[in-house]
Amino acid sequence: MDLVIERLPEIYQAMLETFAMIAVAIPVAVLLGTPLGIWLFIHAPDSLAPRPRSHAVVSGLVNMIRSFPFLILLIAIIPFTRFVVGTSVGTAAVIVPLTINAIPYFARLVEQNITQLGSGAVEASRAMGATQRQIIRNVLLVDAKPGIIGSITITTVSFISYSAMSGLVGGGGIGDLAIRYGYYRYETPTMIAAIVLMVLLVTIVQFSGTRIARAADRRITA
Amino acid sequence: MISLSHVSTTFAGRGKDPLTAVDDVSLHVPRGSIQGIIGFSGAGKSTLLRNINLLERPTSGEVRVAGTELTSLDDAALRKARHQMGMIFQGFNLVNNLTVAQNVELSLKFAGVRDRRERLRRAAEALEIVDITDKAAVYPAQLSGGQKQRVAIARALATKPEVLLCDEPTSALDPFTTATVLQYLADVNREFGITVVIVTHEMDVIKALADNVAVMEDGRVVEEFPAQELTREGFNPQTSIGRYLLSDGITLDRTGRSRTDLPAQSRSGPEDSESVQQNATLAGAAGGVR
Repeated sequence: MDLVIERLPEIYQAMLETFAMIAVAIPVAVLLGTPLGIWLFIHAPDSLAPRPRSHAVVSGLVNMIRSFPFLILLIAIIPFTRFVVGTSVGTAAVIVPLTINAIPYFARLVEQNITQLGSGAVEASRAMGATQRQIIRNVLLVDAKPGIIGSITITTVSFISYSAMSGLVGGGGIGDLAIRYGYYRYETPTMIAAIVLMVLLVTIVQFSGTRIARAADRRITA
Repeated sequence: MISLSHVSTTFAGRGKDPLTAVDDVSLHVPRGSIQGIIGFSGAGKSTLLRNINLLERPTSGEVRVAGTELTSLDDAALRKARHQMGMIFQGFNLVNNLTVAQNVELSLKFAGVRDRRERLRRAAEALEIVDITDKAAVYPAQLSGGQKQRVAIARALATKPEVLLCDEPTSALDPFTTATVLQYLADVNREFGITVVIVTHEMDVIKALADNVAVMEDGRVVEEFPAQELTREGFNPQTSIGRYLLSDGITLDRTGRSRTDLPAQSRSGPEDSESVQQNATLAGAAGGVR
């Protein structure tokens, strides 16, 4: 217990680092991943505005980034990371690959959210003479909102977990602390404390995400 | 008001044989009339209806609505033409995360009514036509099927269209609710002179509402006549609907010996069970609608 208390400043610092990673990666992923997900939906074969060729290219690219093991992506894009944040080590350096990984991840989820809506309201909107843009804004995004909130939750939880791998480039964070002190130095209490914090963090994110999504969902009578 | 000439619609069908859903159909719907289109599933009647507002673009033929030939219009002009055509569906197709009033407002938004207060006023007006003003602030999930369809009618009417296209509007409703919804359709036709085209497989819907009826089978209009002639005698015994009407409704084989002499059967094979189901619907709806 004394050991954990001794580590408290570091634990605090690690939590801040984790927050920083999530606070940048997730909003950027939502901001860029949402339009990408919509694009993938709209231009899929048999969808609203089919563009089979460019869809195949973009979809393939998304799959490629998604299939990289995160550790390898982390290293593979070091030159790009250095270009963006000016360094290849530290918390800032790990935020770049985290974000790069989160964008296509989130885009796929958004694409799924929209696909699951079914074509009824879209068809009615087309019959009403809506433009593609109007359909996206007034119908697709409106009905997919609860699903998209759920996807933000899932992405956040996944990337809290991914952020533990940031140690490889000295990125820090609470997961990295668990690995460094708990695993490498056999400080079991420190590891347990770090893991408990991660569990708490994930629980809070999941709980609030579910709550917000339910509040936004009018498909169920409540 | 609506003139289809030699309209055909063929679906390419990936890897499968192309399917001609609508086969050289010509149909004229006079202004202010109610045109019924009846036929069994797969007859092409929904595709034909969707040809009118080009939700499904015909492979060939001309579609004329209020004097405008639609197939040659560009996207913007087509959207404008669609503002003059309301449409309702079997599945209602409302936006679930919007209130009733917001759903109705949507059609006005799409039609380019910029002023929000104007939209709200006209939405309220449309909701009044179908007597559902008290549900304006409610979400679709809290409505019954009949109420949802009334909201859909209000949404279609809000832009004051000249044409109302109805795709199986009562197929998901019980006979009593069906009667209510049909009454509203009859009312808007009479009061506003809106031309109505209604696709259905329910004979009683046609009997109650339509002025003229077209019978579709295998993509073609096989018969066309005024709805008051809609009696057993009026039907061609060569068509599957004619055969069905001339038979004693549903007869089932309870012995298991024969799987082939079901009534109203136009095809054999896996579709059998489907046509039995439709006959059941036709017979079940009989007597229900007043």
